[in-house]
Amino acid sequence: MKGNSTMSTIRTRRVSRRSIAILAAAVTILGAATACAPGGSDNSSDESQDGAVTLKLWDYFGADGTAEKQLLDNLGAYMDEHPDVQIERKFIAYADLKQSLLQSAGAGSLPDIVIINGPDHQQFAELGIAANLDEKVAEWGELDNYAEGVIASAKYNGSIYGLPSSTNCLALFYNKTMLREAGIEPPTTWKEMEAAAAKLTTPEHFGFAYSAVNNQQAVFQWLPALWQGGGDLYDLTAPEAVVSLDYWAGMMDDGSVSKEALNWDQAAVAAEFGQGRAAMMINGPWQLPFLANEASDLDYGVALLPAGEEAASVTGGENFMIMAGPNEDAAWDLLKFLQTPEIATKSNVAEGSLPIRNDIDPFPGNDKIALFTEQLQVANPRAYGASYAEIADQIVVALQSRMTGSANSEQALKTAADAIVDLLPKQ
Amino acid sequence: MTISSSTTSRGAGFSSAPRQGQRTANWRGALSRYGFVLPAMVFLAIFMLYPLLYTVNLSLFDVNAGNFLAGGAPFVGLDNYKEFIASPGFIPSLVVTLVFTVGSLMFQHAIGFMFALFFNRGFPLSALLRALMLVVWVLPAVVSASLWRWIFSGSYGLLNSSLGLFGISSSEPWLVNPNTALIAVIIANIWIGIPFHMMLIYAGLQGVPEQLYEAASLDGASAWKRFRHITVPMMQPVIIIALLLGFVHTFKVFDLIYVMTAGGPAGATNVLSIEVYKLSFEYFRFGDGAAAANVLLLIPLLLSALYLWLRKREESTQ
Repeated sequence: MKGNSTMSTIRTRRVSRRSIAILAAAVTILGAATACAPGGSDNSSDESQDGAVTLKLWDYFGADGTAEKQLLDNLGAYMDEHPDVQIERKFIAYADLKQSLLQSAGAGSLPDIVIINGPDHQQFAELGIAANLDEKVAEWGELDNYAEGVIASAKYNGSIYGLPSSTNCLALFYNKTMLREAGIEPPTTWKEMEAAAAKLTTPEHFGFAYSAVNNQQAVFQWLPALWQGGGDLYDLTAPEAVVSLDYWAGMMDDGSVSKEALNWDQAAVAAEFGQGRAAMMINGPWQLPFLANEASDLDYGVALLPAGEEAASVTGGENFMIMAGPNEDAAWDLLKFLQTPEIATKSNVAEGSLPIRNDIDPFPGNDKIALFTEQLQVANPRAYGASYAEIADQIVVALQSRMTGSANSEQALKTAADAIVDLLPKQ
Repeated sequence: MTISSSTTSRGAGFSSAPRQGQRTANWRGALSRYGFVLPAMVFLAIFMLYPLLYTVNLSLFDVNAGNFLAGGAPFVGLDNYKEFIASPGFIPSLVVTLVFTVGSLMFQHAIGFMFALFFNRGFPLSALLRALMLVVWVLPAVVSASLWRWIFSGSYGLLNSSLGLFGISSSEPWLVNPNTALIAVIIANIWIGIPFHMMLIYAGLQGVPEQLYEAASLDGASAWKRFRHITVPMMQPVIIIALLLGFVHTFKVFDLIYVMTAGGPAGATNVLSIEVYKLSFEYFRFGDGAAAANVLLLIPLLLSALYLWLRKREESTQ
């Protein structure tokens, strides 16, 4: 009896061992499939005979935020005016947006209009799945109301592929209470900045906070310092670039910036500042609604970024991108509606955006927005071509190598310069 | 090995049985046998073979954002592979992947083995506890990764505040320091992998005949000797399978690392799978991404082939 049961368990074991081997093969093969992009197929039209249209809109506005609420209001208002148009709005997390767009392009089921981060826009123009709006925009005739810097990221090879949803730039937030207690004014130069950050660092809070996270946001936050020092991504081995990285990372060396900045995205930086764990931060106007909601007691101000050799900041923002397909005309009509001064004003307020059009004033009398608008005058776009995502990744490695002490500024920037030389557009 | 010979003789007896209309019966038998296999074959062909061949094909062309949808990517042969292997990031990334895989696997297996021996003693509630341990394995990687991210965080991390209880004041952000980030993700992955090894080993232990241990005890063998000379040799095939499977799915871990560090700081945890993801889905260099994916596939594949070859040789010598 005992012997028999042993035999049968051994047999079971043998069978399961074989099936495990097959499983092993299957698992191995699956590994290859992860990198597989879907193949192309035919486009489907959502237009039915009676002229009714269903438009699909994708965005990454967080649930229950003011931006999402305003967007849904706007879409509702459009549908009320156009009963024959149905809009299906879908939330796609920012980190998944590019991949989802690629997959849907491969499957021939692209959305009709997408809200996309400015620097990612050109990649889709290059892919050929964003609609060229040159003719429509010319016929519309309102482009003169937009500042060149605001629409720069929606342009590719001289053509226009979208219109802005929001626009912003970075400036310096400071905690008025903490600065008053330390007896200092908001810094205006690099020297003052370093001194202020050091002086404002106490056991309770850091003097300054920025994002050095392992994605594009870290580059967005460092670029102003690079430009302020007189450097540029085209020449990272120049002494100007080295000096600006030393300035930026040096504040972390001094302990004025938390090492955790390497894990903070810009939202986390705003949370640190909002909770009083940092006396100053570099961030954008889209944090104003966040701070108003989450840190209503905080007494803070906004100042121009401290200047190095020169004053500089960086522009950011989101664009509406219309996807090439059968619904281009209907999507354009919706976009025109969203760009009307009235709707644009409401959206800008909800998103904490600087005015996307020159002929609107979303925040009359708001001194913080006025400061950002002033900062915008010296803000540059990230106009580094369609390979910007890859360039930015190399810059992050340089920033993080320097900040963690695995390389000095010169070595870190040299490595990055070699890696991006073929990715930068030819000047 | 008596089992394998009995299986063979049973099969041979079946096919050589003298019967009327033997050919038709055989043909019918074959048809029904293939009929049963067909759904699985179709599944494999569509969901495994096709993507695999598609990726191989993709890797031979210079497919990028400009020509991915429009078509007309130039054929470049093995250039994508050469370029990937020669890129400055490849060797560091391969080293990180191997350290991650071997480091995870060693501890996952050793600890899983110990748990299996422990549960094999069959104490009250052991079945319930065993099932609870599986929760770790079933948990989505994103959940585990977020959990570990918080444990290793600097200011609010559970690890640092636990150290504080022992009088060690630490605000070290473990995932930000390039010296500790890789160790931290390995520890997280060990935690995830233990139940898998435990279950395989536990299942194997059920098959080791109790009499062997009884006989050894009568001969005066110590617990260690019984483990060393009975458990380990009897379990050898299961151990190898567990290690092989563990290697294959640890080598291509993506989600855990992507959520915990996204490959940082400064590339300290940049495993090959993250490199593959970035090439294809962030840089839109699909040809390069496909080549990198195939390199990622090749290493576990070679290991699996080696294992199968060893098994075959072992069986033929017996």
